[in-house]
Amino acid sequence: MERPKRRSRDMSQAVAEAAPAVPVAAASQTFDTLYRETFPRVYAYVASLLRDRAAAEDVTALAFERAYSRRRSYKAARGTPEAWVFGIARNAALDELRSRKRRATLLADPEDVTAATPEDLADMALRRETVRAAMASLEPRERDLVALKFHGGLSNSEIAGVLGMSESNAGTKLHRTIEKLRKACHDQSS
Amino acid sequence: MGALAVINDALEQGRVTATNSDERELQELALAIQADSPEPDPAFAAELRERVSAGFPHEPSPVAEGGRRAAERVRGTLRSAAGRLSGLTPRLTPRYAGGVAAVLLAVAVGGGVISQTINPGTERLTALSVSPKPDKPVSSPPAELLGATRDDAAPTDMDQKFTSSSSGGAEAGSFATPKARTLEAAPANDGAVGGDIIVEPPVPGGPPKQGESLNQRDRQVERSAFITIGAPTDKLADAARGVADTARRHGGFVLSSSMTTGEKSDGGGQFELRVPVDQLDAVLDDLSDLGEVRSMTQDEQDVTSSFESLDDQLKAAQAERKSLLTRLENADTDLEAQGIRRQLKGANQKINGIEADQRQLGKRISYAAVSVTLVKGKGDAGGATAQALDDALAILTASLGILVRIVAVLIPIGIVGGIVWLVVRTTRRRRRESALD
Repeated sequence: MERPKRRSRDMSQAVAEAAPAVPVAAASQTFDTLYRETFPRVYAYVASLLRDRAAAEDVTALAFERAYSRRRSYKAARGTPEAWVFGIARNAALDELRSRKRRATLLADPEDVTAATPEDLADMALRRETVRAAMASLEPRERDLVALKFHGGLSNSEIAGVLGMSESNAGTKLHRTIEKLRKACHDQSS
Repeated sequence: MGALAVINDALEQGRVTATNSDERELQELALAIQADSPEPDPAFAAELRERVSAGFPHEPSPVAEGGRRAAERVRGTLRSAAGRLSGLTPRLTPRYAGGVAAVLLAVAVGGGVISQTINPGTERLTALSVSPKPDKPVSSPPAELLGATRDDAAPTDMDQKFTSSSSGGAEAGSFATPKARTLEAAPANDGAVGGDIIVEPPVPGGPPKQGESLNQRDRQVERSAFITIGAPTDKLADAARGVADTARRHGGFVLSSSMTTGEKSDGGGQFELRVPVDQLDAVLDDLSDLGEVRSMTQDEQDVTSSFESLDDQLKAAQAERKSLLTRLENADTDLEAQGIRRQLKGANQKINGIEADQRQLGKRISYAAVSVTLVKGKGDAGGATAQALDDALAILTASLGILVRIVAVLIPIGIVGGIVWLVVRTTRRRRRESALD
């Protein structure tokens, strides 16, 4: 599936400004836009956190349903619509983790949609395995941070909003985690 | 360039842009992580897309059912505590339960305050059982309240006292000054029904005569009244004259008076009247006709024990004098007779003092003290409009008072509710975060 790049700022702002007081039809249209902008990244983030495709689908659907039912309670002053959706998704994922008390592994590997030569494929597969192993060595909170950054595509300020911390604190933790991840990749390679 | 900036640059460009080997490594790592993002199943994406377009209809679908099951599992822990309370809805989480408790507390406390505000004197008036009908004998308060019983012939140690009061012109008529009140119980055959004690008018006959037993007389009650009358400024002088006339007309007199009139002054007056006790009710009726009765209070105090005390003292003094007289008759020497005469003189002075006290007490019983306060009343300066404004102001003041009390109740409840909400929110967040530990 084609992954949307980082969302349009103009659209986000439009969503933020329009959400509090728009009529129902317009609100639905606005939510539809927000959904299209965030769905693949929300799924990727939730799947990274849960490491279970089936549970990730359930939680993603639940998160968007909750977001839809609470769309009128969104307040632009408390963050971007995307950070708001990711906050809901994170809460749902944590609830799922807590209730299941287990860490399932991904049932299937991510699809390779790019056409590549066998040499390239081998090289990509090796790199992917290295990165996955390094990711697996991280603490859950660190994996949460990496997933928000690289799978969710959130900015540092949005990550800070989702995690309930300051932006500088989020940046510091992210930097440390990436350094730890790089070291883990080196360890995996050697 | 910082590490995060290098990473952000690569993520935005979608390729490695740095020349530095360390930075290139970071960018490659970022791109590799991003490329490894899990992607949704197309069938799931299409199904969810349809549901979003339809506005998440409530028809059960496999995805929604799965989501609901997940949600139910999440809520399970919270619900287990609240769910023990039967009859509560499934969505009753601790936060909702706290809210419901806060609302119930507000209603209970607020209701109590409002009740007290609206009927501040109900309990007192009920206990006193003041009869609204002046022509009928007044049932006395319950015997336990007064400390007297139907056959309570013996004097009590404490003076018995009860007070009744009313406010406002509308109630002044119904207060209606009963014919008389006394704490002495009436004979059983004079109309007492259902255990009520029928009181009789006091007998303003002054102190008991020498040798007369107090136990055979009616109990002695001292009565007084306080009345505040409102009258228009231009009729204050007439009302003041009316007060004095009323006292004289009923055989009483004005003990003291103070009257202020004038355009700029507030205007009003204070009168101390003494009226025969059997005329007290008629006097109060006539005074009520002079203007708008703002308030009226009557006090009755049983002074029988004081009378008995004076009676005992008098008997003792008389016995002493009799003894001294006998000794004087039998005195053998002039010196002895002279000493006895001195003692006789002291005994006579003591008897005179006691009798003076008895007379004074008798006057207090025979004449009731009436305090009359004249104030500017309704109908003054502007007639109906001013009266309407007064009424509106009074209603606004009362409403504001109730509002202030409600706010006073709600503020602490709000603070407590806020703290509870904060604690619940923090607890929930920590419990959620514990999934990552």
